[in-house]
Amino acid sequence: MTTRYPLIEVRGLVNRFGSQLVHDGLDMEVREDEVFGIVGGSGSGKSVLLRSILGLQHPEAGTVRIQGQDITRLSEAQLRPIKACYGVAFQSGALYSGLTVLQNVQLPMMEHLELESPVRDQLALLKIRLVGLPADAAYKYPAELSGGMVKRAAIARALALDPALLFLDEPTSGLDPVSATAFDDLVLFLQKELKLTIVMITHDLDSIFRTCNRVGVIVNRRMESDTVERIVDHPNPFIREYFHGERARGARIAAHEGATDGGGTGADGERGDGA
Amino acid sequence: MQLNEEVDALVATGVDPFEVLVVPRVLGFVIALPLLTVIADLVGLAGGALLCRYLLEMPLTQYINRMNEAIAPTTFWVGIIKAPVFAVLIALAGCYRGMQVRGSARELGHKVTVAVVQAIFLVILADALFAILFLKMDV
Repeated sequence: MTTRYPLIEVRGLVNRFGSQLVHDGLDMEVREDEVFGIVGGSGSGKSVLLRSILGLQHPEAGTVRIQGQDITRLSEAQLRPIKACYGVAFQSGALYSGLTVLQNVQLPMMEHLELESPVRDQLALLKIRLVGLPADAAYKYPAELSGGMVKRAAIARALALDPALLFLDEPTSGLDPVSATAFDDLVLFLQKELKLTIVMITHDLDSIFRTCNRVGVIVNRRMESDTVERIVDHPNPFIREYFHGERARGARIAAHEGATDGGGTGADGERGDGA
Repeated sequence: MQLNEEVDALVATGVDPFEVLVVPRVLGFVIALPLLTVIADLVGLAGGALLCRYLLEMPLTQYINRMNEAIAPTTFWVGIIKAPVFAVLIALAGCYRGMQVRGSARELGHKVTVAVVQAIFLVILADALFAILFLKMDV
């Protein structure tokens, strides 16, 4: 295994809304080429953590380093090159409703790259095909797409600038089991083919066992992170309950079968086999 | 509005929401409102002409002559000068409240009402200030 430097490094993060303390000294580390899952109970501050990493929420204390640069200390102009190296697919897609899917995908390109319009069209269509959307979807408006297609379109837009890092906020929420599985396959495919580092917030245990290398669980306003196979045996009662509850059992069995079928598409040997 | 994290998506892409959401609206308004003023002026005069012609049976030529006597060109220019100022106020009130919309469609409706009321208030206030200004300038 090559030595990995942390692509994202969060240290001592503190976030507070009024009197409510959301994060209190949270540490998180994401290495290159891994799929990192952020897990936690509802209201535990997963989205706030993501917003802090993206610079949308200014933390009360702590540092957030992306590729070694502390983004909490950078100006908007200094952040621009960093923002060009990651893509974000928000939970609800956050597609611009007045633009077609093609235009949505082109918007980041227009902001960061100087491209001729035909080249941009080709590039955007490529991204749209890459995420498994039919070609005619490119000319549709977000309102004309199904939930799964909106999420795929959001990923296409997140990939517009060929980022090294992809953030996914609950990518499989609101999808039927078949679509969710197809989505996990897409995540694995993108990770493998584009050598992406993926950070995803998820509640979906099937997704975690199938796609993630490492998992960070937010408990008591801090994060406990480890590989998938080790985190399930963590002594913390919440984490045990999370991964050993009634819902978790089926997911682990399914993931285990998938792995022994040779269906595991992991880039290395760290995929959770749930053993 | 940010019902579905669209503004966050803009910021995360490195796009300044002010630049792509507020500036175009303000500029559009600054261009459109004076044009609208011209159209409103023309329609108003045409309405007056029709009324005089058919209700008061005043010939059109006489109406135009009287109009030139009654309305100084400054009246037109006063309207054109005020329009872009009102445009900026209305657009900013709308965008300011629009940016505050979070989460629900109900919130959207509420903020629209607030924006309309505040825009009207600001326009009346600005109009009063203009009235004082023009009075001092003796136009």
